[in-house]
Amino acid sequence: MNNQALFEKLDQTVELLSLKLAELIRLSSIDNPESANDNIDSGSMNSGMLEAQDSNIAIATTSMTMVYGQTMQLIRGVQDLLVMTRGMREMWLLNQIPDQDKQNDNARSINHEELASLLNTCMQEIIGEPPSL
Amino acid sequence: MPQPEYIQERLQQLESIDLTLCKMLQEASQVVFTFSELKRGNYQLKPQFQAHIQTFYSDLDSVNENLRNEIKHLDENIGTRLLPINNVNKKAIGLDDDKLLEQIELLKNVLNVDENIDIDVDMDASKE
Amino acid sequence: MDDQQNADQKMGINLALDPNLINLTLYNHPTATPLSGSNTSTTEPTTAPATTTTVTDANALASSTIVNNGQSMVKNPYEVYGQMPLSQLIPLILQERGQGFKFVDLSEELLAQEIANDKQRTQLSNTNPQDEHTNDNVNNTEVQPQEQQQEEESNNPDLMDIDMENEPEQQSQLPLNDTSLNTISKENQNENSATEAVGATQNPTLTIPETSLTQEQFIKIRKEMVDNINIAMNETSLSLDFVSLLLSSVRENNANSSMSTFLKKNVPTGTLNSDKVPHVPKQKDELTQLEISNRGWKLKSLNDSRLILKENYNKLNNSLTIEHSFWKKLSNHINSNDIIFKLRDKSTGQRSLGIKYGYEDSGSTYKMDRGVAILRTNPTTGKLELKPFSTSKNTKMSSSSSSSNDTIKGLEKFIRIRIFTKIESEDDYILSGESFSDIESRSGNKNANDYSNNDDSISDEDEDIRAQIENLKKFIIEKELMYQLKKECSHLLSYGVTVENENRIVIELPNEKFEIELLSFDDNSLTNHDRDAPKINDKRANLILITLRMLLVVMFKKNLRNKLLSSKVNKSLNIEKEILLIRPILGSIRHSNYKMLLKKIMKSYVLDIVPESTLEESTLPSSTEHIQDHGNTHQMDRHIVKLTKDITAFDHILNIAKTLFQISLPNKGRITIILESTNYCNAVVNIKYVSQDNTTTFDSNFAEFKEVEEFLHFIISEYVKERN
Repeated sequence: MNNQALFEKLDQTVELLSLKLAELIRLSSIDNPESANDNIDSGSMNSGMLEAQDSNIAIATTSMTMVYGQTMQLIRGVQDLLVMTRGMREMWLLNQIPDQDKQNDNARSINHEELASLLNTCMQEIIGEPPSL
Repeated sequence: MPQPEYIQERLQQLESIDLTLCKMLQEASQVVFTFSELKRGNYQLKPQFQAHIQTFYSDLDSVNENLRNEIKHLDENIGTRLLPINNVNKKAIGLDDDKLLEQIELLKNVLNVDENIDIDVDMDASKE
Repeated sequence: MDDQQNADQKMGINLALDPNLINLTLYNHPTATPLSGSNTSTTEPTTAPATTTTVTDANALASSTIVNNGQSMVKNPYEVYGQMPLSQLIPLILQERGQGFKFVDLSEELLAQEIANDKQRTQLSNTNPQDEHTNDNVNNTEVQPQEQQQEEESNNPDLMDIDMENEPEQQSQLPLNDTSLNTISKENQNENSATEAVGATQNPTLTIPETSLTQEQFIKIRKEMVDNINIAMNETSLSLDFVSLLLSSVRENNANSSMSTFLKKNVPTGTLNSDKVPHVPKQKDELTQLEISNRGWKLKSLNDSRLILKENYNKLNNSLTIEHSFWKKLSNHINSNDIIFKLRDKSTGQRSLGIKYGYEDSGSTYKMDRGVAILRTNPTTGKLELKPFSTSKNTKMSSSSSSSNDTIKGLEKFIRIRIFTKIESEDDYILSGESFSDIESRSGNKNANDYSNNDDSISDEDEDIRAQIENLKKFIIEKELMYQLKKECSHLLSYGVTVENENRIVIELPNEKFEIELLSFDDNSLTNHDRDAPKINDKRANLILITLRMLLVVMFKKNLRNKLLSSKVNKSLNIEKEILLIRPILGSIRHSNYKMLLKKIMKSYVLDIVPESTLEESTLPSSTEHIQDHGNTHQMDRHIVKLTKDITAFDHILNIAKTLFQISLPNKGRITIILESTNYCNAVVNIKYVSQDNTTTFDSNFAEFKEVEEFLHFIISEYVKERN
């Protein structure tokens, strides 16, 4: 269920990224046909062309903010995916199931008899023969 | 105490995904650059422009595929290698045994090693 | 255009804003018959007279439904007749029925009959609808005023009729074939009459559907149609309003007549105006100017975009490099048993990873330091390092992140035990033994690295973080040990144990004293005589230290077992029972001292006096505590079994020492003396005298050795010596 969300996020972001670049290019070239037209018959200007010119400026300014927006979204998308990989890294390292049992069973078992006798000698030593002065 | 190979591999994969993702931004900036050059009339940059677009999308594709794979790997390992829920508190258990074993070792050393030195020390001490 | 508008207005479209129409109820309900209403006023002049004649009176009464020109677009019989008082309704009915009809004659049977006839007629009209339905309609209108229920009933055919009537003109709007519609509406009517018309009987012949169109479908289609008509009407009336308002500044009267009342009420007339703006064509150079600036903007925005992308690429690339190296290091040094979690570094406010090294989950109850460190990259060396994270205030005080070494140093403390031996002649103590710290060496190296050159430490960087973790683990144990020791000491004052200061405990014994100290590595006493010649009691000091640590671990294990055995967690330890660190050691030493004293007494009062008497000494297993029972009852849990085994290994130290002396007196029975160190530190001596014939003569306990002396003397002199 958790990973389903990851898949969805991935799909979304990949789609977003693929769209954004195209959008970016499209936005900055949106006036191409008209301006090309302009260049060809620059002599004959009618009112229709003039309107187009006026709106060209509008498009230019809006497209500027749009291009900025698309760029930021592109970056955001990449960052989102980076956050995703980071999250996965954290999963791998922080959520590992400890294999305590394996260790416990092998080398970690305590030899109780040995320990008891060690402790015995240890206490003997500590008590010692108090130096008789 | 490095991580097991499998996990190292996963981390390596994630790292390369990261790098590809990052590279995509570079490609995008190249795309934009060549495009603006095209608009300036520098038409011989057209192949580069197309190449950068190509790379961008193939990078995107590979990121998509690899990341998808990694999610699958993650999925497969939940429950076996990984804890199912994000915020299960792992317990630092067994540290008591660690300490005990460590001290037992130490105790053995002190008891044995000193056996030899003891004589010298006694000699020294008796002189005092 | 104005004329057109006026014409439209005169056609009556302006009435579309009639609130009754906008809020049309769309289902077969007696209160709403929108289609019939709208159609009567616009497209169907034949029915209109029939309805209007009967309704005019009612209209005058129910004025709410009447709009300015006097004709309601909605012919809603219920609304008209339903609210009419009987005094008005009855004359109306009489009028409808014609002269000579008495209201008393109007019976349920008669009405039922009429309905049946009505239905038969409509059925007939099915077969040739075009001819019949006008009749039908007339009939209906005649029936209408009879009673409420019937109004409803007659209403429906009415609606159906309109559909039919519209058909020639509105075929494109109504794609349904008329017969199907017809039957459906009849079915509809039928059903309604069954449910709502109280006096009506159902005509069974009408229940068979003739086409596949269900009632729901019909209702749905009709609803759609009505919706569309409504939308269209609303839109036209809105645009009419708009044009009227625009017009009102020029020709106010004309405009007023076509403006809706709502608009008139809320917007003053003549407030909307329009002008034609003359279009001035731009100059050619102006245009090229625009074109150039346009391109300039585009190129600039592209350039900006490129720069943003580039900048972000560089930024991300850098942080990725740092991240990757961090994770790589982490993955090299961290294993699955480490507890790593996300936390926020309080000093820097950054998100970071913490590692838990404390013993909290392994039975420790120490709350002063939870044993958490932040994993971070040292900004200067670029190495991974641990910075102990603590919630207490002192770390907040020294929040400057660069000086983390200092805070670490504050935490780097270890316990040193020194043994001083008393020089009897001078009444002074001489240092005779000192424990070494197993942490000291490593940490010493580490410190050296920190101070001198970083080049050396790079080689062991792989081990570094691991070593740091291990060291932190050791430090926290030392700290807790001191903490618990101090707690225990508060109860041992009467046995020569004193807490000299926060970091020092002194245990005084007859011939020597132990000093337990918590020291930091830069303590002066360390540098002064760093590597002295080994001393006689070094080993003992070390053993004491190790034993103390082990006993702390045993405390942990007991806590763990208690937690497993009883779900309830007791937070604070019972000092008497649960903190057993010094007492087992002190108790053993004291016991041994008591033993010697007792032996001396026995020697001078028994052995030296009674010839051929022999002494046998043996250690008695002390009465084992309640812990054992727990172990048995819960043997199923392997963790508990393991913990119990671990703890049992310490029984010899933990249990109260008990020594049995048996003195056999030749031919005179025997004396049994049991020395038990109750409470670890006290001594109770039990003396039994068993005579030759196995009768126990004495069995008494003594807490004073003077009494023991006297008693032994008494036994010997009274029972052993006398008979001798």
